[in-house]
Amino acid sequence: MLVGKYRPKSIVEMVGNEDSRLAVLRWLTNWQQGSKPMLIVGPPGVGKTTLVKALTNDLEYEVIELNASDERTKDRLESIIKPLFTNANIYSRKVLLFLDEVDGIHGNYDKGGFNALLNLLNTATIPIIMAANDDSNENMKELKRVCNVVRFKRIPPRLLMLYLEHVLKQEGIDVSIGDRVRVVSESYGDVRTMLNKAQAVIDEVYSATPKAYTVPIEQAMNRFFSASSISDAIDALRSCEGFYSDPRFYRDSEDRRLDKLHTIYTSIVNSNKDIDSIAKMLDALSYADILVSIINSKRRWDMLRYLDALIAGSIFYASRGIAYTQYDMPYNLSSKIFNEGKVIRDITEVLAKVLHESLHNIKAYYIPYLILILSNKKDYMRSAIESGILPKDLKVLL
Amino acid sequence: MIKISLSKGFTLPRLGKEAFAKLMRSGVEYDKTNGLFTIKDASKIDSIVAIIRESTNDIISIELQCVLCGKDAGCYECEFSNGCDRLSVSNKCICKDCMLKGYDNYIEHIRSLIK
Repeated sequence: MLVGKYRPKSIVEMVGNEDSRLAVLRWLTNWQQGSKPMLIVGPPGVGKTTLVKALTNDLEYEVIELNASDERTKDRLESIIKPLFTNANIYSRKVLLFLDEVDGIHGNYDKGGFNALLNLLNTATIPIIMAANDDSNENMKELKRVCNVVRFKRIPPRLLMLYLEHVLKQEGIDVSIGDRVRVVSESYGDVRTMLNKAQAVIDEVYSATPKAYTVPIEQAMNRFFSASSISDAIDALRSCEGFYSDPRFYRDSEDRRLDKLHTIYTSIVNSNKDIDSIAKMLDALSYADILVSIINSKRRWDMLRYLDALIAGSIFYASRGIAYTQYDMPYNLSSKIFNEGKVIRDITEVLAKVLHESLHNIKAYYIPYLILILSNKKDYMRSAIESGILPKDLKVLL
Repeated sequence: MIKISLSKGFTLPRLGKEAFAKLMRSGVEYDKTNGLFTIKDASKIDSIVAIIRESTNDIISIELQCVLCGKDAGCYECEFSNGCDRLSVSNKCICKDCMLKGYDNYIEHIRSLIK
C-alpha cells in the first residue's frame, strides 16, 4: 500500500506546513525540563502523527505513544504516564511522550482524565507532544493555555501533486494527467486520502468515472443490499467513500468508515429478517467494527483493503432484500424512548441543582433509588417533603 | 476584491484607526513611504483576513507564497484554483517553475532550512 510505503521517515520528506514543521523541530531541539509541552492542531491527514514519528526518528527519540481517545480516565492516564516521568533516565534513548487525539478527552465522564492530564503536564520530565483535530471545545482552550500551539493546515493541491508525481515516479507507474488532477482535487489537502485514491487508480479499482465514488450513502447502501454478486456488493461499499447528502456524515474518511458500518447496522436492525439472521449479520458486522477500530487506532491503513470484502463476504447472502434505513429503531419505539428520556433528563437536572451533584452521579446513583422509593414509599416521600426533610423541588418526582 | 499577497506588500483601502491598530497587533507591518502592508506572521492569516473583511466588507483573495523561491505561487493561474480554499491550506505552496524542478529539489530546500 502506498500509504504505508511512502510514510515519511524524516521531516524533510514531508510536504506542506513547512513553518509549522520547523517550529516543532526547533521546540524539540531546544527542549529542556520546564519547557511547555507542544500541542499540534490540524485536520486529519495533514501529517501530525507522521511529523512526530519522523521527528523522533530524526532526533533519535524513543516514542511512547498513547492514543488519548482510548486511555482517558484519570487512573489510566496516571498509571501510564507517572512511571514514565519518574523513570525517564533509565531508558537507553531519549524518551518523548506522544498523546494523539487529545481532543477525544472531553465530556463529563472524562473530566477526571482531563484534569489529570493538565496536572501531569505541569510535572513533565520528558518532552510531550499532543495532537488534536479540533481545538474549539472548552477543555482544549484550557489545554492551549499551558502549551505551545502549532497549527497544521491542509496541504495545497500543487504540493500534493508534487508528492504524487514523486510517488508515481518511484513506483514507475504512468497515470493520466486527468486522473492525477482528479486524485489531487478530491483529496482536499489530505495526503493519506490522496495516496489511497492513487492506490485505487493504480489498482484500477476506479478509473476515470467520478460517479463511482461520489454516490450518496443511501444510494450506495441500497446498491449494496440489491447487488447480484459479492463483487458488485464490494463495489457498492467502496462507492461510499464520497460525499453524503445526509448531514450527519462527515467528510473525514475515518468517520465515514464508521458511518458505513452504522448505516448497515441501522438497515439490518430495522429489516423484516428473522431474529436469528439479524443476530448472525450483527455478529459478522461486529468483526468489521473491530477491524475499523484497529485500522483507526493503530493507523494500519494497509488493512483497509480488507474492510469492504469482509463486510460483503460475511453478510451478503443473509442481507438480500434489506433496504437502507437511517434510524436505529422503528419511529414509534425511538420517540417513546426519547420522550421518557426527556423526563428523566429534566428530573436529573433539578436534582443535580438541589443536591449539588454531577448529572452523571444523579443518573447513576440517585435515580435508581428514587424510582424504588416512588414505586414503594410514595407516601413517605410526600410526608418527608411536606415536613421539610427533603427539598420541595423533589415534588417533580411525585 | 482585495488581493492579499503573502510574499510581497499589498495595498488596502482606508480601514479606520481601530481596524488598523488591530492589524498591526496581528503581525502586519505598514510601510508608510510606499503605502504597502506586509504580513510578518503568516500563521495569523485567519485573524488578519477576518479584520480586513470586517472593516471593508469586501471579498478577500489570498495569493500564497512559493516555498522555494519566495515569490507569489501563482494562485490566480493555478489549475487547482477553483477547488483550493487558500485560507484553509498551509500558507506556502509552490510556483509552476519550481514545481518543474521536482520533489528532490523541494526536499533539498527543506533540508537547507533545517540546517
